[in-house]
Amino acid sequence: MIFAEGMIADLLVMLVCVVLVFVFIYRARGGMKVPAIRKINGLEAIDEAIGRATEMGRPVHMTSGLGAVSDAETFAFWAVLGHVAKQCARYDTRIINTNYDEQVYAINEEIIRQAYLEAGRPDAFNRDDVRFISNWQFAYAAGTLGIFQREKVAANIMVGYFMAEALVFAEAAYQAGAIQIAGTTATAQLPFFIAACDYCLIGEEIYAASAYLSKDPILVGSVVGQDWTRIGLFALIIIGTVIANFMADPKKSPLYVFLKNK
Amino acid sequence: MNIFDVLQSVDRRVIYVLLALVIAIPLLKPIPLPLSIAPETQQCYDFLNGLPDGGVLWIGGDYDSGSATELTPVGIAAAKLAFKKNMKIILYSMWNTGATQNHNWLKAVADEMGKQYGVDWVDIGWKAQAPYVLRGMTDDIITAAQGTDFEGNSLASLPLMQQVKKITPEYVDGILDLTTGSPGADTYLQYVIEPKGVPCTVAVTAVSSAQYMPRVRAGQYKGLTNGLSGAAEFEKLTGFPGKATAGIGAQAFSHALIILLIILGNIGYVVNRRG
Amino acid sequence: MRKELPLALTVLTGLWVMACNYLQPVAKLDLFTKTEHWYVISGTAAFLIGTINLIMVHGKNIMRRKEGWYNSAILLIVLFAYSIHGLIVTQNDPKWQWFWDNVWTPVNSTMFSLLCFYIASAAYRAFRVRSKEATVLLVAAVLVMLGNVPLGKLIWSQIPNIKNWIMAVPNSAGMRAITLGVYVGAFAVSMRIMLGLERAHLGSGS
Repeated sequence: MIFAEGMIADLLVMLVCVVLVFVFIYRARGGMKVPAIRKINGLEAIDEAIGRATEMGRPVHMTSGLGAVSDAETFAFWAVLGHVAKQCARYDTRIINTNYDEQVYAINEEIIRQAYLEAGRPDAFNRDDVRFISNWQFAYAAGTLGIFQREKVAANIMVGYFMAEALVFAEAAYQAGAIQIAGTTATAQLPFFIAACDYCLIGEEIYAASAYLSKDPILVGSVVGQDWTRIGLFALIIIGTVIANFMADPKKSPLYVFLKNK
Repeated sequence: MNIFDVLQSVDRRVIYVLLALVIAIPLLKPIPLPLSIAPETQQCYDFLNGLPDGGVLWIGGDYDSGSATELTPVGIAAAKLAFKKNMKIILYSMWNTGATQNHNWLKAVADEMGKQYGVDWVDIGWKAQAPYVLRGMTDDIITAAQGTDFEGNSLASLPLMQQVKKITPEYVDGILDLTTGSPGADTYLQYVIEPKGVPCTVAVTAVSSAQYMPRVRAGQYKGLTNGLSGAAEFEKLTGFPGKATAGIGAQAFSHALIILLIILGNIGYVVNRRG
Repeated sequence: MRKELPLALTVLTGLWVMACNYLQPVAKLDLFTKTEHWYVISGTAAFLIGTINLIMVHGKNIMRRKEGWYNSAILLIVLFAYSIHGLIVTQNDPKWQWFWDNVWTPVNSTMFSLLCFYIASAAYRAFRVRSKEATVLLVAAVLVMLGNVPLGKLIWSQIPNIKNWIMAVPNSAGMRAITLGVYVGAFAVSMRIMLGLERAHLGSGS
């Protein structure tokens, strides 16, 4: 048996998802038309937030929360960070980045430095504005809170995985007078962001950031493939619901047996 | 500035002072309030009470001091219930910031009920890369836990750990996970509940109960206690009232204050909008 | 090679992890656990990076006598003293534990308690009947808040039941939908990383 026990169904579902995403990437590469991503207010507002900070002469703050370097949310953050850092470098706006994870901090410093280099302003990059605060949750929250108050940030962009410190950041930045754009996949923190922030990216909207901001058709194609994957899963849910409600013993249905693969 | 402008824009410092008062006063002078038991809390209690006498309860202490108010009372009441049923308890903490506090409350309960460490209860403590250690413990607890308990004693020398070799239904009758985030209940779901079939119930903070409710509805968790109110309900069901019962009054009045402020703010907002 | 080498390593590692999980001959050897050990080792080495940044930033604050420089001094003193003490005596020492139990734990709880005040001011500010959706949010929030405490039952006996229904039905439906989307999105991001399409972490900008 070449496949590991209990993994055949997982592998097949994964391969179907891979094929769907691949098809739309291939279409985009080939110059064929792919559907556009709908307007996402939070991502549209990023440039507005940077503009506001530039006019007020106050810094932009960005943080990725508690995400580690291996988390998909952190990759979504980097897509936004790259864009914001480039804009800040172009408009000579200070950007402050606070970090919970040491490895993420190291990568963030490099992304921001590179953005300043590409904007032709390597001298304007301030290393001290990319800061590791702590890898204890509330020590990180306390340090960042202090930065909001002292530096009087004008724009606060939070994209990533957040836990309890989400509301601390949102409310502290509001008190500092910042416009706030937040996005997280942590469902428990979404209500706090919706209540306290000006714009909120809900769940997988943060994963569309790289495609949305770059407008790269290949990245857009991958997002469309992701949507088709979701449609496929919906079909599976509907079939499962019908089976669960109309079969005498749903656990004997071929679909259940296949997915459980025991 | 008229009254409706004031209602719409109360200074946050006034809100903070009022909130501090409505929380502090009921804590200093507890006000008994009737509790209604949520279905999920009843499920949680029924699950734990239905575990076999003399069996093994695995407690996951996956939280730190910030969430202790909501979760420790559930742990204490559950431990007392388990010890009353002559069950053995194994404690494992996936948050290093909570390992000591978890050990302390379980030790206090065990001492109160005359239970012996190593025979009736064991604290594995926290291990680096805790989620992966948990997965390893579904094959061999002692090897995955690097052979030592919370205080550095040899696990193999403890009578309880000589009987309970791995986290499977054969050795562990049920799991209670006290969780506030990640790693936590989802880690148990991924590595223990689904692959190995060990039944589990959870105690969560109020802020994360919305996130875990779908899994309770799907039967993946056998019940849930929802924050401080769920802890108070659980204490009532077990017959061991504690700090959650004492604190529910403070929570009730703080909720009432927030709702009152929201209503007043909306009155001011609607009147001003119409004006 | 600055971008090509990390991308190649990413693809190879991704394929390796997939092989460890899906292919029987590789899964039998439990090589994934050994791979995770490498991940742990490389992650542990990174703690020095953060410490160096802390020393540089706060050291500069002290040297330049910036406003609040004494806070930076306290940070560095506690950082070194507690770390060195812990390395010498280990974390089972009562004195080391004393600081943890009597300083760190109450401070941590205090920071967490800020949430109580912040949610009050955020809820007061945000829950306004600006639109139909905002009104639904407001009504649902009030019902759930009342249902969570005994006062709800005192006001009307059905409030706890309504709250249970809100949590069990519309809330569960919404949470499931968001969670499903999140996992599919994370999968798509992982694919983009494996294919080398996601390059923001390499400093390419947007």
